[in-house]
Amino acid sequence: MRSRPALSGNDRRERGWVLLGIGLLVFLILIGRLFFLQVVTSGRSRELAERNWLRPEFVPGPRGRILDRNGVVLAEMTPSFAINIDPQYEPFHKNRELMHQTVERLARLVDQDPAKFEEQIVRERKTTYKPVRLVRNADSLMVARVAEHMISLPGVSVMVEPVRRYPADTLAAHVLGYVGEVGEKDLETLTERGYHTGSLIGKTGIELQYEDLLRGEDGKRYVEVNALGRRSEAFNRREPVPTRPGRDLELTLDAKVQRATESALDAASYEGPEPAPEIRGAAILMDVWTGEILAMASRPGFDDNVFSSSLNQEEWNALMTEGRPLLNRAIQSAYPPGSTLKPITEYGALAAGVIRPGQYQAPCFGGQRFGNRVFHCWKHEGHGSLDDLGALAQSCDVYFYQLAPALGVDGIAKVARQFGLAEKTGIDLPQERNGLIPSSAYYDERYGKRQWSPGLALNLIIGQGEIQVTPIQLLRATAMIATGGREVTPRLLREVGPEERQHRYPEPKLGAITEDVKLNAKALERVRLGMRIAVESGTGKSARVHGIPVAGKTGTAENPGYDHALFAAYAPADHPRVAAVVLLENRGHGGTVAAPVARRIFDAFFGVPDSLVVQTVDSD
Amino acid sequence: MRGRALRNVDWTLVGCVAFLMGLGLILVYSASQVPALPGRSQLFNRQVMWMIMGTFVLLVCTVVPYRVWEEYAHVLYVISIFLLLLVPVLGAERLGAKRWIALGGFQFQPSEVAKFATMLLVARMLAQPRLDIRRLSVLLPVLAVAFLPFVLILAEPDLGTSLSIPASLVTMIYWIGMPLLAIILIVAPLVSMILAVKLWLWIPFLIALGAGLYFLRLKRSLLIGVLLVNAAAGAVTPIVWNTLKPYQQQRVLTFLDPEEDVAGAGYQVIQSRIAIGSGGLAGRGFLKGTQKGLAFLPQQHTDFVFSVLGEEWGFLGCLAALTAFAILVARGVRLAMKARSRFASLLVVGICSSLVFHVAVNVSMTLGLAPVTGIPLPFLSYGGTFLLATMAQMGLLFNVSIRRTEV
Repeated sequence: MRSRPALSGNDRRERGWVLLGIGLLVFLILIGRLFFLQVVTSGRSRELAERNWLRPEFVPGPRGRILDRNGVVLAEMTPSFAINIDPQYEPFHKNRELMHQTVERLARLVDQDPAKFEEQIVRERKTTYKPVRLVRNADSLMVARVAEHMISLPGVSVMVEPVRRYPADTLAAHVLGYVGEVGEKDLETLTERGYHTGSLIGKTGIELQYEDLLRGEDGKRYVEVNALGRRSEAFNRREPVPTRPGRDLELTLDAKVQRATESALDAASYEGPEPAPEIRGAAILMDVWTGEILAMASRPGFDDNVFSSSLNQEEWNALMTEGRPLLNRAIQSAYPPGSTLKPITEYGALAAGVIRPGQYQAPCFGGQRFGNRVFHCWKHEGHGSLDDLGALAQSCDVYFYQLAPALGVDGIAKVARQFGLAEKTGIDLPQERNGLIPSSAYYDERYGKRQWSPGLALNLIIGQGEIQVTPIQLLRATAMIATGGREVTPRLLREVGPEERQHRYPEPKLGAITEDVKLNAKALERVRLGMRIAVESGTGKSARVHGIPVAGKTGTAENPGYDHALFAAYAPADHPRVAAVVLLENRGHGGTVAAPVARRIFDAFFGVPDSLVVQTVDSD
Repeated sequence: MRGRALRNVDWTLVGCVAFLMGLGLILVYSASQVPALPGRSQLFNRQVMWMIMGTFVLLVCTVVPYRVWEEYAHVLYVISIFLLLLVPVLGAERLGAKRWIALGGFQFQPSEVAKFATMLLVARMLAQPRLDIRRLSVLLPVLAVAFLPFVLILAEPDLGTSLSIPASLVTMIYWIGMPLLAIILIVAPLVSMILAVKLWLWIPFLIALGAGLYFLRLKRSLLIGVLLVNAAAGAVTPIVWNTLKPYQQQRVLTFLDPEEDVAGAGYQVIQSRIAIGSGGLAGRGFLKGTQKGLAFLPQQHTDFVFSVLGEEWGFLGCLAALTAFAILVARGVRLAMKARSRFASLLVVGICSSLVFHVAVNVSMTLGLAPVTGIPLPFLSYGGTFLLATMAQMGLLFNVSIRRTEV
């Protein structure tokens, strides 16, 4: 064969370039597509890839503790037993029936409805790959029973999980509040703040108020899942997000005084017709200078631990209706103050010059005519002639009736407002109530312009009628009398524990906001003296504390039911430190029912062994 | 002689082949490290063994002068046809198809041998001096030689592999002198048949074809004739469609719209695209691909090995691999232009077109640009027979390269 090119040179070159062109075009198309997928839209693909295999699992960050001012633990996280079942358990994949049998057996052991368990498993499997927690906060007996039958309970495990525990049970339950799992509805708004199904969140009290400080920030652990939907251990490259514990809160409460306050409330006497009703009421002790709440109790009480295990509907209804134990009566209930308003109205009369210090009024004969109506004094036989001091000490209604026309409804309302009544105190607890101080505008609105009797002022001046104040407001007003006009903001948070996580929430303002209300010192001095005499020898004698002079005022508030008993006081009378308010619903006279409670609170605070109980006969 | 041979070695070609072989080992190793699929771990060792055998085959094909291959092309062809006929009888069934014959301890695919042998025989037939490919008496025997293995492989069924035969054939016919226009006229009706499955793809194709031919100044009567033939071919499609197996129908449909069937056939394409896309510019790193490692990628060691490359080595890795292929092809075409022997020149064109076809179809498939046809990627996919066939072709490429001045 002769040596020559197989094809003619030109034709070959041309065809060669065509082939080369087609080949390169193919490669360019592929590279272009690759560039689009890997460089332009790579992020989206990576996201889709992660959604394929990366499933976040939450590790709860421990919630901060709540301590009293001396470091006594009032709330903490403690391990508890939870009984779980893992629907992803290998043998269940092969044999669905096995799971149903196991659930059935477990339900029998823990005395629950298997249908409820099945329903829960179906619901939770949609959202998580974790084992499903069937029993929370299981008691040791239940755990022992399950452990004993473990062999016949495949896929079931007993796990330790942290729960909120209140070691002192019912102590200060209203102040502390309780926590619960985030509700499905709230979750919509809370998800971006890191809450998720199963997160604990404060529902009431301090737990709610300082939720942002207390809550631990959940960590995240990434569970990797392969194409078969099983856990894979091989690719653990995503660093877990560490948990950040919540911060400890030190409250102003003194557990010892709190306990004494609660037991004093529980031991309150009763004057009414038998049988004695359940004790309902509130007692508060506050530092008059700083507004620090040393004790705050409300009755009926509840055990905030019950919220850490599942409540059934019946138990829940009981908490919501009968006696409303969840209500913190110290701040969330308003009552007519009765005679505890008298120091304030007398101050008003003195400051306005309606009476002069030491001035006697017409004697009390047990009642006072006004228009065509007779207003009675609580002491039907009458007090005789009294000056401003005696009027407070004996709580003489007739004395005050005589001041009412001069002060008028608006004069009384004005002075009541001056002492911060019917106005939220700003205490660091949620859902504080306002209360009500009627004024002429209020009466005009209610009864029609000028359609109401000026006699309403006679009722108002002794704290009766429409007027409604909360115990905490009364307490602050009492503290203002003690301090000469220092209007503190009552508070419960004393200090926030050391920072253990990044600063994310604004620090709460520590140090009560106080405002000095300009008061007439001379008038106030008379009122203080009157209150001191009231305890020394007047209606408040049963509040006398051994070695500590107490100034106080009793109150008996008429209401549709049996009288409410009230007592507002501060001590020591000469150098005031603390103020107390005691309120007991439907139990009788302030002097006999409420004053002894206050006395026991003071005893506990001042460390007085047990003051002699003075049984008073006369009381308003 | 030996000295001259060594001097003539095209080291660029050798470098590309060595690079792709190394990359293949890396990828198969990575694809064998899947905890969810523990049975995979043996793949790498076996691929190393295949690579060693492949290198041996490459050397044999390089050393034995191509004229010997030309001379015995028909023998090899007959043997390969015989083996293909054995497949339905002795073949091992996998995934509803019989493609493998067990021979001693290992299995091999006669279709790969047949592809190779057909290429050799066609090259030999077309290498006749003063041959006019435009004459039917010349073209028909060549078509017949190619058609027999094509049909046999198609019947296995193995659509992807069978299509590589016409792909090489068309290029070789073009290379020996068939006008481009004639080839377009022959190929267009075939494309029409495929695209006619979906009207929204077919109609634009017909319009593009008409416009293209119009600009090539084709006579109007001929143009209308061509369009009518294409229309007729498309009309046949529904009939052919019904003869396809359901999984084949599904593959075509999935290609046309992968999102339509996310859980089924579309799953492979979507997961592959996610894997490649998530690789980004520089990749997720060796052995760190999650799509691969957690078994979301289908067929990751064989047909979808390119997705592993995309996921773990990123755009840069893919670019490197495609560049190596492109250099290989470009050097091949240059060699075909220079080779003095018609047979050698034709053979090189056939080899290069087969290589481009495999790379294009396989990579397009992993990128969602082509239907899932089950075509492996040369050098990179796991698989013995295919690797040996590829290495044999590379050997012949080297062979021609060394002896390019011979007739």
